[in-house]
Amino acid sequence: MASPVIQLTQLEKCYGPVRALDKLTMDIEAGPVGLLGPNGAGKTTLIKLLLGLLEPTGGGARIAGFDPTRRADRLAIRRAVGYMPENDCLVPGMTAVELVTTMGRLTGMSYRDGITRAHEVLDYVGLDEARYRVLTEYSTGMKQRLKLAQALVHDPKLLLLDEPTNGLDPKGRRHMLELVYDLGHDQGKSLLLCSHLLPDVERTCENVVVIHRGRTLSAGSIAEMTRSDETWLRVEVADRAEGFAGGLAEAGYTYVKEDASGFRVQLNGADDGDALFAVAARAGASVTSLAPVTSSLEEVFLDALDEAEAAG
Amino acid sequence: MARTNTELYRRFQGELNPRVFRFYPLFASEVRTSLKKKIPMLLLFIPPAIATVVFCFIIHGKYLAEGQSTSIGGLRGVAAIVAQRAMVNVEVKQLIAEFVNGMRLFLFLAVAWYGSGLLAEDRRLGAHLLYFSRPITRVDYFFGKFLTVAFFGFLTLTLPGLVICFLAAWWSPEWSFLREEGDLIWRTIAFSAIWIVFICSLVLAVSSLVPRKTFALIGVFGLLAMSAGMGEVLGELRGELQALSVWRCLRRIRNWIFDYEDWLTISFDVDLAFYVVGGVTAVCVAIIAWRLRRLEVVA
Repeated sequence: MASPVIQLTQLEKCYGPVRALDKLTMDIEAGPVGLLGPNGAGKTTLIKLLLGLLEPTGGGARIAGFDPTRRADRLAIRRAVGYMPENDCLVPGMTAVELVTTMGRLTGMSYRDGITRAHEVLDYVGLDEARYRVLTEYSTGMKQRLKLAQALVHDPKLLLLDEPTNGLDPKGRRHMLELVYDLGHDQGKSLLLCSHLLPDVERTCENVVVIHRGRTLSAGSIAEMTRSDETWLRVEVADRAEGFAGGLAEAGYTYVKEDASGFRVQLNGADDGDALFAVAARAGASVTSLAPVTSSLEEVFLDALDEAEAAG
Repeated sequence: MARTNTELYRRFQGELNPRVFRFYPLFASEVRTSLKKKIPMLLLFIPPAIATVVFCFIIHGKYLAEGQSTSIGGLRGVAAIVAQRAMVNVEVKQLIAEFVNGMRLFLFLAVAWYGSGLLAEDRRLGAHLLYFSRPITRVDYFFGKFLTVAFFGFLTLTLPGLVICFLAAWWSPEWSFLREEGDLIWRTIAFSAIWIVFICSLVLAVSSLVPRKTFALIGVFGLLAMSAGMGEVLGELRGELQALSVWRCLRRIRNWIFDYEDWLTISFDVDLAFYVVGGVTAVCVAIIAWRLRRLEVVA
């Protein structure tokens, strides 16, 4: 098994009395990983600590094999990692080609490599026709793609993407998610995607880490977290839905009526669902759909937050 | 997932080589971006260029007059003798001291114009986020910015001064300028270096404290005007208090460097002038260091 790209050990960061990260311990494996958390959860602080822009109060971290608290490692991290900030970060008066070339050169590229690479990544993110326009004329979607391009210019193995779909219209968002998906799945990049938009994480990442108040609430594969609860089924019936509801009650099932013809039914013990067809037949209804109930990432996220709130 | 982007991601095949001068790409990019605006460039650099040409002609005339016995420019008789005497009596040292004194204004305007937005606008627009996520240190960032403004200072003061010195050396008979007044080259470099370091530090320090370029411009002009005003008023009470005017301190240093007889009475010693200028520069550098640390951390 490959070593984790990010390792956090009892990582702690306090701003005066406020504890932004509270002894955070986790390993983040290679591949696309979502970092979820409500505002103030500590996501941005974590990214800054990983880039060496903040000093931790306690504990340690390793990213791409380097220790961000060591000055010498800090520069190596910034060479190995591509960072796409959340906020606008345009350099006034520059064009996209100039900005990306400068970022490449600051990372250690020659002028020729920098400019060649700038054109390649601007092509990749779809800014081919706008690359010589000054950045102040860019739309929000173009700015987001440009930020991704500058993060990619030195072809890093690990990308830290902070809210990449922020402020995008549906088309722009879809394009950005396609790029993120491509980078994570087809180009073999490891990426840490910070987002409060759960569908974005669900579409592009396989693993997710949920943090809240500087602590890890849950971490693991999205498929595992949202896997079906096999004790509940969603049943759709045609005709005589009321009769079917009565039949369920008579047979001792716990159920929730979701709409005019849909029910969520909890199975009893070793019941495999076939009995529901018998209930429907007795009520004169016909079952048109039967499927296990699955949780969305949003439900998992909200449940985890509720549990954390309840636990204090 | 359905996909619409058709462009391919290409791997980078080259190498990332850590530079010795990591600030250089930042410096080069800032200079290139600054020079995109043509009107400020014309307003700030054409007058020093014209002045350089005029002073070069005067020096050329002096050495021409020294080399000729009876005529200058086709004139004959008394007029020729008077003109020739006048040209011969021109002192190159005096001339260069006057020249660099006049160019201070353009140096100040150029550095204030190009430097006042360098830190303020980076912070306002969030550009520091991009820079500090790259393998550069705060020192690299500082040098990238400082050298950018220093470059414009160099163009308005050091370069014209050196052009005049080199042309004087070239035109002087048997390189007499180098033999007799060659130290003027070093004096010009020393004077412009003091000015550039002082003004650049001041402008960058103010720029690091305010959120916009306009505020930085106002701040720099305001600080210097306040300092000059205090120096003038309090200097009437006690001569040494003239040193509160940084402008006057720099003038005192100019007089000392060029061994120049100034018509203006300056009632304090050159040591005090150096202490004031050095102290203000040190404070400015400390402010920049403090603000850059915050800039990186807040990033």
